[in-house]
Amino acid sequence: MKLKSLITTILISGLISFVALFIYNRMYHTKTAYIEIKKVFNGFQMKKELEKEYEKTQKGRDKILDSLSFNLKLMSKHLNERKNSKIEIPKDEIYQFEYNREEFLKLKKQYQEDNAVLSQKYDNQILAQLTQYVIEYGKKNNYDIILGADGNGSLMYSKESYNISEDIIVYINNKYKGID
Amino acid sequence: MIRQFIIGSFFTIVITAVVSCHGKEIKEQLNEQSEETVELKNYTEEKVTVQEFVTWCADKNNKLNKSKDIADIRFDLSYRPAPCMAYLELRTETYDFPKFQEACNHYYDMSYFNFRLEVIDGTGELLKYKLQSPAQYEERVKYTSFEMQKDIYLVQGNDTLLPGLFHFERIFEVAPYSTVMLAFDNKKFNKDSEFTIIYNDKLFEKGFVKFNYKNKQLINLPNISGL
Repeated sequence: MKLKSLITTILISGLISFVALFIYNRMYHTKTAYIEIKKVFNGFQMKKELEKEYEKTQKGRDKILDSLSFNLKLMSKHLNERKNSKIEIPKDEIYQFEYNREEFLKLKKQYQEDNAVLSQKYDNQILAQLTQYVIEYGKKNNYDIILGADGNGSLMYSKESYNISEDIIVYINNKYKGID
Repeated sequence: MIRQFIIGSFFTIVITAVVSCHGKEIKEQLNEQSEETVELKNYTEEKVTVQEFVTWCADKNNKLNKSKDIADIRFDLSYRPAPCMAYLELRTETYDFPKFQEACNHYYDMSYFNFRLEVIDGTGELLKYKLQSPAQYEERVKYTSFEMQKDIYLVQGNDTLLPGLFHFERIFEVAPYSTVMLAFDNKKFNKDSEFTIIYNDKLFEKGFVKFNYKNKQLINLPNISGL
């Protein structure tokens, strides 16, 4: 009799606790986590790939500029030598030098602008995909809020257990690679 | 009575807390197990009708169709096995098995994929989406007709393979999506091994969009009875 009542008590109180906990979780508990934006951004495979692409493009452009710059230096050296030796320099050579110098400066400026545009374009692409995958991660794992800590004070303190950066990096990289 | 209640509550709270703490891990383990089960399931033993085969291929759970949303654009890639292509070819005709088999033979040399680009919750023509100028529309039409095929490729190990067949299908204002039919030469890649199809999106500037097919995913298909 005593055992029976004990079991009944345990079952009833268990049921009540479970229902209470369930209701509490459903209604009041907000599932929150945060990610370290810089860490996630740097750990994102797409960022690494596009960074390589960008460096390749930039190096290609730098090579062209280096070559033009070298030619200009040579021309300048020749012109200076002849000037120092008091040999008359034909005007078309000076014009050519001026023209090449102008072209070089124009190209240098253009490449600087193109590099900035390309960098911005890649950043936008990375952010678009990263944001999308973080949203999908949040929905899949029933998060109410995922905060982004970027060190500018938007998140001043949180327990380390709320940091899901590592999980997010694995998830977004798999999503990016198209792995189900 | 009060003591009983306290002991009972204590036990239940402890059990509930333990279950709550480990609930996530258990759920994750279950998910992993179910995913592994899907991976390991061998479909080649199954015998189905043509109609069932086509439905099976269209089912997203069977992993032949992959989808990816990036902001406002949805990218869908569907593998179309030879019987599906034959089914599409003969759809309007009376069903005739030898004819079907013959049609299938036309498609065995290549692996066909249907690639769809869609504006999520959008309307109107895909190529007119967020258009900045009329000239940009012309550029997009030119790009999809001539340049886009260079931006879709299959990567397997260190090899990169461009599609042997590419056709961009425009449906104008009918719906906010467009479809690309592409095919890769079966002799130039190993269908049994893992590979990734990559689209470098220059139409809406979304960057690399990748779809991965695991080992044997393309060959682990049910058999059509009679074929």
